[in-house]
Amino acid sequence: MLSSVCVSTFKGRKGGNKSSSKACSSADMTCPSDSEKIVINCGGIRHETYRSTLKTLPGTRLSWLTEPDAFSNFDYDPKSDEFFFDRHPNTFAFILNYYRTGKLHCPNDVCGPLFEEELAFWGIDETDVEACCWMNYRQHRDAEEALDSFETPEPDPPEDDPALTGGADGDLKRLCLQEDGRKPSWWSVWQPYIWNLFEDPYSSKYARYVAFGSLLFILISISTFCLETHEAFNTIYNKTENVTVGNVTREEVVFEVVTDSWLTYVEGMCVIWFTIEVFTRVIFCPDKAEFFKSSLNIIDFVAILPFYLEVALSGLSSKAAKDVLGFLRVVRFVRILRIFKLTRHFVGLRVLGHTLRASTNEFLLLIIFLALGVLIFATMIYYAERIGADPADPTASAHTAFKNIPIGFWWAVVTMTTLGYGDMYPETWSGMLVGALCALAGVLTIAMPVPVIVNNFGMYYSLAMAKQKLPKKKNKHIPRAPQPGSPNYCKPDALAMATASPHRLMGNVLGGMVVSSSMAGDCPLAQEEIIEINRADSKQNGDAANAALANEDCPTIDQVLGPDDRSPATGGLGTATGRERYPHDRACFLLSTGEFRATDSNVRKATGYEKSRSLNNISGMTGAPLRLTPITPINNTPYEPYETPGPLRRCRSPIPSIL
Amino acid sequence: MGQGDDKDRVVINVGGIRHQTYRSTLRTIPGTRLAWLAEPDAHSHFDYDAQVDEFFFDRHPGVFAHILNYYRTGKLHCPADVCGPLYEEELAFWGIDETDVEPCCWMTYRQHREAEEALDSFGGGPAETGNDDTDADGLGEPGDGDDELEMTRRLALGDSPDARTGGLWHRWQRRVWALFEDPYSSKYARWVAFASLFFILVSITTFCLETHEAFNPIINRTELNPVDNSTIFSQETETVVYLTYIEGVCVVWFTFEFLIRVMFCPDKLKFVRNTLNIIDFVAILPFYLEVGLSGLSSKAAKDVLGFLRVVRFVRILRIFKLTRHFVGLRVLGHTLRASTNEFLLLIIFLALGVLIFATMIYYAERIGAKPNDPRASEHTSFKNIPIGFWWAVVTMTTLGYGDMYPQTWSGMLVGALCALAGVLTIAMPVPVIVNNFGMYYSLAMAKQKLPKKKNKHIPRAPQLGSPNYCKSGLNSPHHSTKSDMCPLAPPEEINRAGSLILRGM
Repeated sequence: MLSSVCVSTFKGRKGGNKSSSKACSSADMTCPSDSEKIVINCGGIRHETYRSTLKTLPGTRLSWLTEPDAFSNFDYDPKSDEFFFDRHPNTFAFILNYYRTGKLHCPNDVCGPLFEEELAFWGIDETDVEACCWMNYRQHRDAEEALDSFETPEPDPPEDDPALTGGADGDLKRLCLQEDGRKPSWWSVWQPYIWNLFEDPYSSKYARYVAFGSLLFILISISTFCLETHEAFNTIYNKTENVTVGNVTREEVVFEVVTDSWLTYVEGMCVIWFTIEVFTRVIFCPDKAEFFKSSLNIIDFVAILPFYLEVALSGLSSKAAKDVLGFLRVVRFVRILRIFKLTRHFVGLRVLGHTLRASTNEFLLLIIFLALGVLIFATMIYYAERIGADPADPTASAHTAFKNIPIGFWWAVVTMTTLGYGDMYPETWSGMLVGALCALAGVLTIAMPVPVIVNNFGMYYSLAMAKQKLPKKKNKHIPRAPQPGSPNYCKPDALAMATASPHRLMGNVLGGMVVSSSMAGDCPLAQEEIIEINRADSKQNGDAANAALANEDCPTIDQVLGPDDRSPATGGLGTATGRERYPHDRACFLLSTGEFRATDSNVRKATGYEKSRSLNNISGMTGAPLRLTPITPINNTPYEPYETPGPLRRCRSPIPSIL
Repeated sequence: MGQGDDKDRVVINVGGIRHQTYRSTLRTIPGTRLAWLAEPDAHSHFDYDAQVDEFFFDRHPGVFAHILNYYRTGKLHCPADVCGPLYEEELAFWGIDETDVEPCCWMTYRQHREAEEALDSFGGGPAETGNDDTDADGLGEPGDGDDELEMTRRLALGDSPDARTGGLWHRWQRRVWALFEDPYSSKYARWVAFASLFFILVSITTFCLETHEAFNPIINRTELNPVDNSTIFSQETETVVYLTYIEGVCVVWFTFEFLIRVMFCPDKLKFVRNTLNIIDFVAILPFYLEVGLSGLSSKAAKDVLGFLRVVRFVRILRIFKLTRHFVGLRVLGHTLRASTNEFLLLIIFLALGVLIFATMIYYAERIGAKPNDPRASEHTSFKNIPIGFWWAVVTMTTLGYGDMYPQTWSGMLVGALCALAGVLTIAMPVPVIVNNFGMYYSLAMAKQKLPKKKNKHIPRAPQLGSPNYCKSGLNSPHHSTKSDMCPLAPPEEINRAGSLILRGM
């Protein structure tokens, strides 16, 4: 279809249009159709559009621009008659285009997370992105999410900037430590130190030595494991055994294979090192449950177990112990799992693991493709080879290696992967034709899903490399706090006021005006960001639940507003700020509910926002007491949304607690 | 003079950015929206601001620069930073034919649409249409036309008295059809899908095992020869009975499934045309024929039976039923159909190489022949050129079974060349096919992963006096041809109506 926007139905409206445009051309600023136009200066570039265009998406930041009181809420310059927003200008063109055409496309020249942030700022739901841009848009986030979900929890948290992820938590912890004094001395000092020593090779010089030691022992143990099976290290002893059958005792010669003892000693050394490592890690790990859930640690444990069992049992000489020993000798192969310990030391291996887990679908696809091809070609070759059969041969398969279809599977696999061992090959003309087709099909079959997997690997690998190589930022760039008159200081926070009001309430009652105004009011972006995050969370809920919640939540907002309504009037200190802002809150709130009722197509949008606000509200209420004591640190390191979006995303859970 | 110069220039404010050009430039492409700007009465039709002497359009400003450039240079290029569908929409708004896009930008411009079209055109199968229905509102562009159809269909259903009288049938027809067609429609549908999957796997396993000698005991038969009353011993293999029973159970399920699908399908003609359904039917036929004929003992029936035993292999086609259950397989099918040209190319490349190298190896191997060998092929396995084809295929695909290999120096040289050429031959067309696959796959994945939008954003209705008013609507006193010239209006109008109806629902 073509553009659905430049809609032109309009045989019936000729006259009206003409007159209005006439009026427009003749009249001045006061002309209604002129005031229809609105100028938005976004980062220095002036964008012009109609007010009605902005109204198409109610509940977004731009739609608030069309409200009558927008001049006071946003950075409005009456001289040039424009609103100023301090945002990226080029991406704004795409955002505005969404209002015009109803299709949200992403610019190709900016990366997904940047656009995501812009969308969040303008209050647009990211799921509105068109299918053609969706993969592009999500690429980085998908990779990041996949990596995050696979990431074992140990390495990440310490890397994060504590001031950022859990400002309050960190401060609290620090405060606690100082208050408690010297009490938890030895354990709390050494536990993280030793844990890092064994866990993070980059934490210190000694940690690097430990890592090298571990690596060395892993390599030795793996070489021993492989050499053990070589005949040069396995001498055959003739043993005579007395076997009693009934009353007769016979001497029987039993051949026994004994591995050279020095290999066992080497293996013993390695096992001792591994044991020490595992025990240290078990003892010093910060979270035992998490530790035992990690498959790597289970592998560690399982790989050292057989050796001890063998040693313990070799002392006994009973028949049962012998049987168990024989079994254990087979179980020895679990030692090869030690090779997976290498994943601790090589990023590439971890990425490979992640890739395989993330590409399960594509992997399955590859297998299905191959299975399909194998089945078809095995059948074809079976029948093709039987065409030239001898009529006297009842099974019709004396002349060919393709005796039945299942054995044909092997041939088909060997052919499709272009291995070509040559243990079976077609010998009739028809068979050769099938063989040629099979080889061709095989090349394509394997070639098609592999690039998808390879792409995944490349993406994860480059992301992992980026994370590793990215120099640690000493001091993050913190964008200036938004000034009261700035455009960033805008409606959503006024709206979020509803959420902030409990704080203000508490502030009025308990803390005082300073806290309430600075915290709740002045950081509108944080609120906005939180709204966004909450919205993202709420998206995961069922829609029915969503709707229900929204309906339920509306009254709660009312309730919250209710007491707030009265308190500033009575509370002496809070009145100044409270009063000033209050009308805005109210206006916004009413307006959004108005929209909420207005058209049914808008319902979801409106409810979505309603809901997030109320969620915010709830979290705000629960978080309010937490805030009362460590006031100053929070004010100093406020939730700046403009630092990188990454950490913010990651710290979804801490945010409510900060609140 | 100066005044005339001024008149000649026109300022177009697109989304806040002012573009300036000559009226004559705009006139270069008549019939487009911008060309109308150059007409004398344009002030009254478009949003003209007399004060600053500019026309205002509420469109994407960055893309407009490229469109204006088309008027200036006559070459339409695409901006690299926007995706194809966005540019397409802008082109449609400005009334420019998308085929004017230069070849250098065409591929990137069309990439997404082509993938989409290919997927749509191949999605004739019922499973696909099911998908399309669910995707329609999520995807927008291609769905809108369908939306409208869907709307009318739904409306028709709602309005017609049919809906009440045939209500039971309609309700059940739809539900049963979804049950067997769309595994994601309900819990029971998933079970049905699983059962179907299970029976497919069982039937394929039986099919393969049947050929194993363990399940085919050799039976000695004695027959009385009617001519001279002597006994004839003959050996025959017979498949063990329980495999036949298992196969029977599977066939019963497939028959049941097939019959239900035939009965409850909404469009019989479409159903019959679908290859998958034909396969369904063909794959169950031999069993019934065999059962029916085994009762008879005439000689003719025996011959037919013998033939049927060979025809059994059509049962392997059941494996294609799996395409109903796996998206990846469908994508593979689409890719293969869309890449027919490349596939042919691959085969031609290979055939060419095979021919050349089979000839070369044949003569190369005869160089070292013994002089007293009349055929000069005693010492080598390359007895003739046709057998050399096989060797060439095996070498070029880097299979290397080792059943034939060159044994003279010259032959080895040819072999080495052949292997090298093979790698290149295969490597060249394969990435094209693989790219196609990647494109379709990522699109299919995007469609699957893209969260469903509950309500589509519907842009505001155009206001009076807005520039979005297409000229044709209001220019009855104007050139009468104009109404034909507005290329945009009719489809949009329909669209609009469709989406409005959609909203109303």
